[in-house]
Amino acid sequence: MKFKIKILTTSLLVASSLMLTNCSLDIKNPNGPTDAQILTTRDGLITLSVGLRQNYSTLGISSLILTPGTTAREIKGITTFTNIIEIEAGGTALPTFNGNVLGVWSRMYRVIGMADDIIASAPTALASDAAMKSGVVAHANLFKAMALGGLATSFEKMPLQTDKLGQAVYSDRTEALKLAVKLLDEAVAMVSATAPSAEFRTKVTGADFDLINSIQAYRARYNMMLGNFDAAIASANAVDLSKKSSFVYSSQSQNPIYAATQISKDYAPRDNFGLPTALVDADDKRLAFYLSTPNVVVGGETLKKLVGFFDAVDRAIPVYLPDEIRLIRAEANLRKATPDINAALADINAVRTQASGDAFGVNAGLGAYSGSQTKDALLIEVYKQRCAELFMTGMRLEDSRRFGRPAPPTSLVERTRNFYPYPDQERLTNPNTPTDPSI
Amino acid sequence: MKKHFLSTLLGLFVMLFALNALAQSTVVKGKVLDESNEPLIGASVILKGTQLGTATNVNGEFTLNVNVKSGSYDFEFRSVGFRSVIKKVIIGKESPIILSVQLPTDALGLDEVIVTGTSVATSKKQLGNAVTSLKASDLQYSSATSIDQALSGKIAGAQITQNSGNPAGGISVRLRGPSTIVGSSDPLYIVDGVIVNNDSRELLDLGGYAQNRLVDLNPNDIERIEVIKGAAAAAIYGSRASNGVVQIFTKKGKDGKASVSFSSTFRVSEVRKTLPYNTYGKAFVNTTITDKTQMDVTRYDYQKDIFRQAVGNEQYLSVSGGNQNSNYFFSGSMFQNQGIIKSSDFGRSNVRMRIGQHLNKWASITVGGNYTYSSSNEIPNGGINEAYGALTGFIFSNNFVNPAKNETTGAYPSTAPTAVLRRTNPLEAIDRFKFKQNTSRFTGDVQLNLTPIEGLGIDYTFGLDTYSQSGTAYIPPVNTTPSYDAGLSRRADANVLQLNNDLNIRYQTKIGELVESTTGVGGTIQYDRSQTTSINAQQLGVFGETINNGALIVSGESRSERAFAGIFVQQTFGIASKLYLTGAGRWDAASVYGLDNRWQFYPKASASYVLANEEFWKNTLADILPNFKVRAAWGQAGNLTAIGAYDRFTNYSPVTTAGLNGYLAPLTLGNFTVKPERQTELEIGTDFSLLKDRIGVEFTYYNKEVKDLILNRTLAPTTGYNNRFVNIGTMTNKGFEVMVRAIPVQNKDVKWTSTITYTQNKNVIDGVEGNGVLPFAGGFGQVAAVNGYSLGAFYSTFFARNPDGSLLLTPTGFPQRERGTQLANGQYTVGRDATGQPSGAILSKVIGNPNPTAVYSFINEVEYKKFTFRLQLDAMQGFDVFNFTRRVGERDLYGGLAGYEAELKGEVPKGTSAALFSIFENYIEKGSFVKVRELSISYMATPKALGLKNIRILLAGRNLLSFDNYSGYDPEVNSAGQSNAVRGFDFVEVPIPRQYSIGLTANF
Repeated sequence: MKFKIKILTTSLLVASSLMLTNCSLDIKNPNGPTDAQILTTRDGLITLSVGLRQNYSTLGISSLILTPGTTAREIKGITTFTNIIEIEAGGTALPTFNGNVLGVWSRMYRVIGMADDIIASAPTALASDAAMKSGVVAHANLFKAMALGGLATSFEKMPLQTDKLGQAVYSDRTEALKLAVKLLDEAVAMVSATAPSAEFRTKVTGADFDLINSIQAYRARYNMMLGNFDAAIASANAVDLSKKSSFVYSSQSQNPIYAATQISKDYAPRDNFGLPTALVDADDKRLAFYLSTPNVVVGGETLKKLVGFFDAVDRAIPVYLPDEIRLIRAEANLRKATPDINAALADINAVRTQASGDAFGVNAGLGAYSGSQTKDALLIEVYKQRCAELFMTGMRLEDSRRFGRPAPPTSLVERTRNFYPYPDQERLTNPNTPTDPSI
Repeated sequence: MKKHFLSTLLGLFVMLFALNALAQSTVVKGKVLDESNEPLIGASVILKGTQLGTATNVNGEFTLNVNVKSGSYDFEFRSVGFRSVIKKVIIGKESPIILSVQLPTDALGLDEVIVTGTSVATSKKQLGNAVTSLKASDLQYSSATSIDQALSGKIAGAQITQNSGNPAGGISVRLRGPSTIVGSSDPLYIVDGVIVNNDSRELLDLGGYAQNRLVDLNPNDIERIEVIKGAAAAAIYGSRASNGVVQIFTKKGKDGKASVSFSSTFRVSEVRKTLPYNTYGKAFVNTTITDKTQMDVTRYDYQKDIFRQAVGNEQYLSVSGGNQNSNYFFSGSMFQNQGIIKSSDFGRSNVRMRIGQHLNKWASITVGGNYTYSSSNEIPNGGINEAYGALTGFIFSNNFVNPAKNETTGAYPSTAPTAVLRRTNPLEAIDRFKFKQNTSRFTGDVQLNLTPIEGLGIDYTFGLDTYSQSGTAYIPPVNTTPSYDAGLSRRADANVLQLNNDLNIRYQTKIGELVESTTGVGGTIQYDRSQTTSINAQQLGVFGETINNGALIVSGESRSERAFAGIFVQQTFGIASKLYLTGAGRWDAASVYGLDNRWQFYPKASASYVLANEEFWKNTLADILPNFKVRAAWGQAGNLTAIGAYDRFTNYSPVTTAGLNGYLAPLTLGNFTVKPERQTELEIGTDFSLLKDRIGVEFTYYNKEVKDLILNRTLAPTTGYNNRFVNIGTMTNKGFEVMVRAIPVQNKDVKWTSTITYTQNKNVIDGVEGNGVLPFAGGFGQVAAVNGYSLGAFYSTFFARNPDGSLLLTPTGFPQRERGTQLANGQYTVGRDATGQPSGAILSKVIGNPNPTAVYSFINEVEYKKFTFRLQLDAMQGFDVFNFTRRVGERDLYGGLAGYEAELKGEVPKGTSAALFSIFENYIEKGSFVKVRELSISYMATPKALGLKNIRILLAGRNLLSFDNYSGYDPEVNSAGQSNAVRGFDFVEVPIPRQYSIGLTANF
């Protein structure tokens, strides 16, 4: 009996100790930090800045290049996923629930949300480190501007900041572009006043991302989109054309266009950059830079194998191409009140005749421009050069509108929509969502 | 607070061990027989109020040594399927005392003792809620290979769906409909007191299919299953039981010399139905609508190279025995079964043991353990995410390409329609892909049962369930897959641990002559942990299969821990053995919720009134209705596991770029105010029997309402986030369930038993914000919660129609999608332009419902001398299936199904199938079916040789026939696996095979 009592006592003690262990109901998440850690600490804002750029450079760019790129006929959606069939077809039938359109919208606002958080938290979390703060905020300003600019490429109206309560108010796209320019102006002022620290460069931008030249390049781009020609020229002149600024990739952070075109093969590039033959020089070396063989014919269209910046999982993608800056300057010089034909021609020829030495290897290798030297003819030449040089950079839809190319619903040849409808997911819970554009 | 409470209680038990009393030894022995004087084997004999008891042997005889003080004692005799009988015995000088009893048949099972959901083993008549109990003999002819599969058709109130015909199944169980959207609606499974994990982990993407881990249990080990269906009965199990409880009791040893049982089964499986494939010898040269040029082609039957006649076998051995103080049970089994898709199989080895020991006359302990090793060779099919499966390749192929391997190069040809759109050659998937899973699992329990003083019972259970599951995938480089032509190697592992500690204390006493009181208090502490890792390698070298052979390697890890606590108090009054009233309260907490919402209180109340025990009844109606009981139960429960361990936080994800570490804002915005869903269930029912207990009927009406339903609400993207868990919706399940058990014939040679189960349920969701539509992942965007409709409604595009219902065609003569203005809750107004053509936005509406309105079964079992015949028909009615298989196979780009022939033959305009492709309404079909689920004949012999007690030969068939109008393989399967919300979604999922088996069981 004594023995049994011993057993029982032991088992009860074991039982009671088991009941009392593992009893804590407060369990920390070991997988990553929460907003409380990220938004209130110095390390939090530094690492969120990296996350912001990583996100833009993968999901963000993927949407900005593939969706408007399909609409502007640079590439063709070829798999039978419903969203891809719909975006490939475009036109008035494009449903408001299309997943690709939602992707452009939601990925840009995810970037804006992170940038808004950084801009709001930096004054307190980085109060004691001005040289870190100027870099982090300028970097956040740049990415918010890029996201707003990306949205303005695809939509007519959009909120200028995120609203966690879901009641964001809409502004016209020109207001978004103006805000983008303002953010970039502020960024320039910030880094001029307080140069970002070396620590900022080692912890946030790394070796391949050039913050100040990227800011100036996008400042030129959005001033051009707004028609601020002088400001566009000034910003373009501020870009150091010998510098490279790249988004870099690895197996853990993959080149998103590579994945969509070479792995899942949802899209393939059209022959001749998807342009009417009149807009392509057959001996343009950029054709071979971006497009390769084997050719395949789908639905009567010849499709190429995509190379350029998209043929390996870790192939870097330029943040901007130096020749875009030349072409912005050329276009601004042509469009400004008193056009400067010679300056424009010089930039156009610099792009056309470049046979080697482009920072990213995008060399046209053509002869100098020999056509009519009228403003209109040269504008067409600028468009032609932009289409070739800036193939699959997400610029084609904006350019097609700005250069007054044939438009839907009359013509679906060069683009199948002017702007996208607002995604259902937005309209469902935000009562401020405007009426959809008809095309 | 609770720590203190528990340690006080435990201290108390220890003190109680000092108690002892004088006693004397008496032998009680006798025989237990049924109404036709046949011996009842395994009937239990219990000295009430003590741990003393035994069971009858093969001759129905028992012997029990009782060591108690002189006095009057109640001996209770019980056997499943019979009414229990209590005999008063005076223990004094006399020894041995001879007792022989006859137990009357109990069709209704009103005297069955139920332990699930009660604080003390209680006869069914006292319960206010419906309980289903099944015994091993209800399952033994089923030829099922897993427990949940075997339950099909046997439980009123349950919908049991086998989601895949793969050899390891993949099964969903719904008791009285789904009760959550974001969590799982599967019930809580308890095996011998252990809360067992039933996750469906997709370590590999097999196209949507996943095993659910109940597959690790061996159905041969089961003695009894009890099922309670809802919140009203869940006080003991708390909020993890909000979807109901399936409690499984495995076999234990019985008093007597060692009993050995050996069984061997051989199975053959085959596909029940294949799809009619395109046999037309021509194909269009292009997809241009106006170009009708055709070329001659040879068409191939791909399916004959995919499906096979599969075989399997199973060996099972158990040894059990014991004496009055100890008992033991050991079993081992080897199970191997091929899939009907070539190269797929599943195997399972089990070892189980259970030892019971009486420590003294008021204390006993039992210890059980089970080890399982499961392994499978998988062939991907379906295609919810990845499209590299075999049947997936078949449906995306144009069947005029000969799929056979090029014998010279060893390469398989692409069976895709164009060079740019690659689809897996199904023969290559079968021949070259290697997808494997294995699981190593241990489940163990320790149970201590004390009855230290009369009326007081204390049970403590410790349960542990732990497994590691690993999956490996290998697709060699240079292949025909859409995305992995440079090869894929994947390895993923999950390590899971679950612990539960349960302490239940009850006290039974009499208050005066009439009132019996049962008081229960108890507590539980539970913990679980899961850790998963996954590594993917691409761009493989030519030879090796492991991760290291890849040039591009991506890995990931995630860890999750949860803890739960709960305490309850339950009080039952039994008044004059007629009226039973129960009230209970329970407090539950889960670590997944924020502090302010962590502890929740859930009340319950129930009543049972056994009218048949009233004097007036006995004098009047007893001849017609010998048993009659009405009951009602009301209760609340939460859902502690609806959201994940850390879902209330805004969790940033680690990322790296350019060698820098970063954190990325998540898609899900955290919400500290999210609280457990609250389910309120009311059930009202009656149990009665007719014709001298030959017919028993159970009827229950129920109304389950879930408030504060957690929705993974989509946010306007301009919030910066995509979704957030919010308590915002409601869900109701209303319906009734009926079970009728009848014994139409019973005499010396023949016993015919019939059982009908019938369930009717209507599920409605409400409270979805915005336009009242919330789409779910995993259904290609065509599945949503829509206010006023059932969970998982198919919500998508539909035909534009004329006022008379005929199709409104485009000017070029093709069917088209309806357009107009989309309104809230799936409503719309149709738009027409000046020419009468549809105008406005493309519309969506609810085009189908995957939830059956009725689930029913009809089971007949006839025992004739030594033969037993059994037939079970299972039916589901009033539900739709989304036939994505047909959508793809009939499209011009693929065109491998016979449905595309009309376009080739010119019976419909060229381009029709492409036009139909985006009109999803076209692919909704009625799924209603009646299946011959089980058909068997068995013969039991009792040869007097080799020490055999008996030997049984069983010939069984499973899923032999299906009566349905569904054009696909099988209306039952679901490509989204065990998904809670996406149901009835057929996209080349493996159909449930027709199976034949022959088995032999010998008992020694």
